[in-house]
Parts: sequence; C-alpha cells; structure tokens
Amino acid sequence: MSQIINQNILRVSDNTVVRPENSAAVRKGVPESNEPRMLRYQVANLQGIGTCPRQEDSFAFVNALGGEQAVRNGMMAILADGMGGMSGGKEASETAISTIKTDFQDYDPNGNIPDQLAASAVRADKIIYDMLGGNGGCTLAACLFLRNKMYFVSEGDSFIYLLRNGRLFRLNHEFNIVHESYLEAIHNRTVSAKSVVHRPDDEALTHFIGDGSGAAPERLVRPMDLYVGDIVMLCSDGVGDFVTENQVIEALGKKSTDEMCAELDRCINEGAEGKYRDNYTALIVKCTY
Amino acid sequence: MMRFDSFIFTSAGGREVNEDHAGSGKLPDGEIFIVADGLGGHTCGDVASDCIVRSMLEAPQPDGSVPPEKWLEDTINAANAKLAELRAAQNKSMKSTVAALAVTGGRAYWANVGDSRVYYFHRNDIEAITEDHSVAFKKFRSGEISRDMIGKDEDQSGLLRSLGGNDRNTPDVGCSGHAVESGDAFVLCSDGVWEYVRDEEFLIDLLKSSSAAEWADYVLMRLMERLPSNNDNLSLITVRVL
Repeated sequence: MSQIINQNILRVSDNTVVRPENSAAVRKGVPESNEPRMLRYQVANLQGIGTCPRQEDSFAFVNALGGEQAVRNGMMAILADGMGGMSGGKEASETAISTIKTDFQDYDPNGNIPDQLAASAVRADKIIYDMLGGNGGCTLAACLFLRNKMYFVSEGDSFIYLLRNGRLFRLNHEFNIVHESYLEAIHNRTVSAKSVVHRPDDEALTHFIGDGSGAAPERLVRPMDLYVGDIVMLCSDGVGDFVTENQVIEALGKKSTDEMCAELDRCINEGAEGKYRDNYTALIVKCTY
Repeated sequence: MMRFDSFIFTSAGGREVNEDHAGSGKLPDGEIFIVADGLGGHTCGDVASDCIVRSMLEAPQPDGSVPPEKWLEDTINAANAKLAELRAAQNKSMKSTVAALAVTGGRAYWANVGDSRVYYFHRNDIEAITEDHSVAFKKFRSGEISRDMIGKDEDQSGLLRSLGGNDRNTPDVGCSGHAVESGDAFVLCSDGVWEYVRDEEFLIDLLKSSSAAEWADYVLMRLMERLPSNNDNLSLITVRVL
C-alpha cells in the first residue's frame, strides 16, 4: 500500500505577512484576552491638477484619526474622479463623495457591509444621473476598514491596490471598452491576445457613477483580512496610468506615508514638463498597530 | 448533502488545438473535478488528456473499502494504465498532467501529477496549493527563483512527472484534514492559467464573487490583460461549496 503523503501541501503562509498577534499562526501560550488586537491606520493623500484647467477629482477620509467611532464603525477612504470631457465632473465627484459619507453615518457595522456599500454607490448613481441627465459622472473607489478587514466598492477606472510583503495586487478591475471586449472573448471561449481587436476608445468607460444604469458596482462580497504592514492605495487614473507598478512598489516601500506620497508625486511630474498630465489623486492607508 | 457551485472553462488559447481537457462527475455525497493538460511536444496531447479525464470519470465509485485518498490515487494510476495501453496500441507518445479534486464524505482530497494545480481556499485564506512536478518548481523550492517567476522560468516546461510513461508518474495526494465547510472554495487549473495569475489573485477574485462563473470571469480577465500572442491552452475549474 503506497504511503499517502501530504508533502505536496504548500503553506502559502510560509512566506507571507506577519499576522495579527493573537492569530493561531503566531500565538504563544494562553492569551490574556480572546479579543484580536485592532490594527491602526496611518493615512496620507496626494493630489495634483496636472495640466488640466481644473481639478475634478475629489476624495475624503472618514474617522481617519481613529478613536471610538473608528473602532465601532470603521474608517473609510473614498475617491471619485470626475469624467473630463463631460459636464459637471467636479460636481459629480463631490456629490459621490458626500453621498457615501452621508450614508456611512447610518451604516450598521454588524449588518451586511457589502450590501450597504453597494446601495450607497447605487444611490450616488441616481443622484448624479438626476443632476446631470446622464451627460456626466465620475468613477468611485471606496474602501471601509473595520475590525482588521477591508471592504470595497468600485466603479469606473480608478485603482485600488494592495501592497503586501513587497508584492502589489490590483484589487478592482476597470469598467471600460477593452475589459468588455475581454469578457466577450472569455464568453466566446477565445482567450488569446488575438481575440481582442484594440480600438482608439479602449479606455472609454462603460459604467460610471451617474450613468443611470443602477448596475451593481464591483465589490468584495466577503471581506479581505488585513495584516500589519499591508498598504492599501486608492488612486485615480491620473496616478495609475502615469506610474508603473514597479514605481508604485518603490513608492509604497518608503518609510512613512508622507514619503510615499512625495515619491509618487515625483514619479508623476519628474521629466513631464510639456507633457499632458491628468488630475491625480492617491489615498494611502498603511496598516499598523 | 453537500452542494457545489462549479464552473468549467477550457480553451485552446492562442494555439490551433486544445490539448487540455476538464470535467466533473458525481461521487457519494460529493463530486470529482479533473483537469488534464496533454503535453505538447508529444503527439496526441489532446488524446492523452481526454483519456485521463474520461478514465477517471468512468472509474468505479469509492465504496468505503479503501480510504478516499487511496481511491483517488488508484483511480489516477488506473487512468495512467489506460493511457499506456492507448499509447502502445497507437504506437504514439502520449503524455498528460492531471490535477484532481474529490470532495466526498465531507472532506476534500486532491492529487496531481505534473504542473496542473489544485488550490484550496478556507475561511477567506489560501489553505493549500499542490506542488508542481517541474524543474522550475524545484528551482523555486531551492530559493533560486521566486514563486512569481515559476511561470516565466526557462525551465517552466520541464516536467519531472507526467502520466503516460512507464515511470515518473506517481501522484502526490493531499487532503483537507478537516471537514469542508460552506464557503470553502477550490480552483483546478492548467499552467496556461496559473502562469499569468498569482496565488493571491485567485483569492482576491473569490472574495469579489457571488458565483463560480463570476469568479472564473474575474480570473480570466486578469489573464486577458497579460497574454502573449501565442498563449498556451488553458483550463480552469472554479468550485464553491454552498
């Protein structure tokens, strides 16, 4: 009888992050309390107008200073990029931010967080659609940090990144023409680079806040566990399309969140004189104790 | 009665012929899922992988006379024997990998030969991943290359085990070691998928998904962003325990 071996099981945790102190992986002895040690968050933001005539990105942090509210209800980082070339981009992005912030005050932290976040995005969509008649809108990236976990909703082409152990992961996907083409190729079972014909309007958004579709945004249906050392970055495409992932990794590897922002700003602007630069916004959240 | 939401996807990718096969079948209080990748460079890779998947799905069901992990190992060995018969009858070199998952009696059992993989996700984390039988994976294990570089390494196609030969075909078998729960999930895939998708990205996309099909869509969209023009065949099975 052959021996059944378990040597093929690769424990990914062998080379991953330090986990919260009381997790089974690192607990030693009998803990004094069964309560997990709560992460704290160091935050910073970067914003610039680029070469555009006005700033149409908006952003907010809620409960970023910590305290009882943050422990009970969580902390939010929200970013919206008003769509240039359409009317009311700034008004749309500001309205999206204020809608999410307002709804967040009434969230039930013990309820269904993904549904509450999605409902806020849908409500913002309706408000902006009514305001602009479908002729304008914005992207949305909103992250809620609660009890060592993260939830997000996303629509449009802003970016949500996670840096963990020096490795960068894009958490959300883009709602644009080229990604619709990818989905069509997948559903046709033709998964190859040749199956998608690229077009000049590849980057045009197919879904945004204010399009009036009421379509459900992309979201985490189940929360993502966070660990000390994790860094989450939300950014508009004015950052994501102008900075390579290696540059993002290098920037987020800086010691402080302020230095991270300074490095990103340098990457965007250094040597870019005379070149087009979009509005740019980045929100950085570093998980610590 | 354990229930599953699963989705099976296979495609020729950027090649003329799809030499991957994938399938699923019922087991006592469970299911079996199989991915097989016929080796290019050997004639009839598609025939080889098809033989493996069919043989395993047509195998006698586990009846409790042997432990489930032994049943799974025996089933793979029997499929290997059938492939060897076919190879001899047609006088052609036919080889294939296999990655198989059997969920039965409340537990999960998996096995692999070659570099097709099984991933197990439990309580919002990656619980286990099979180890490839390849030169590139050995280089990763020795620290010569990082895990992210396995799919890009020049030795990535060098397999140390495969089905269809007289030797070097022993499956590695593993099990969950605990009861499978609602919310648990699995991925089976050929190297045409994992070459372009990192381990954590399977988990991220699982956490965004309400169905196995949606999970597969998210994973495959990442793939589409990264493909070269002549990408390999690819097979992906996503399984969610309801």
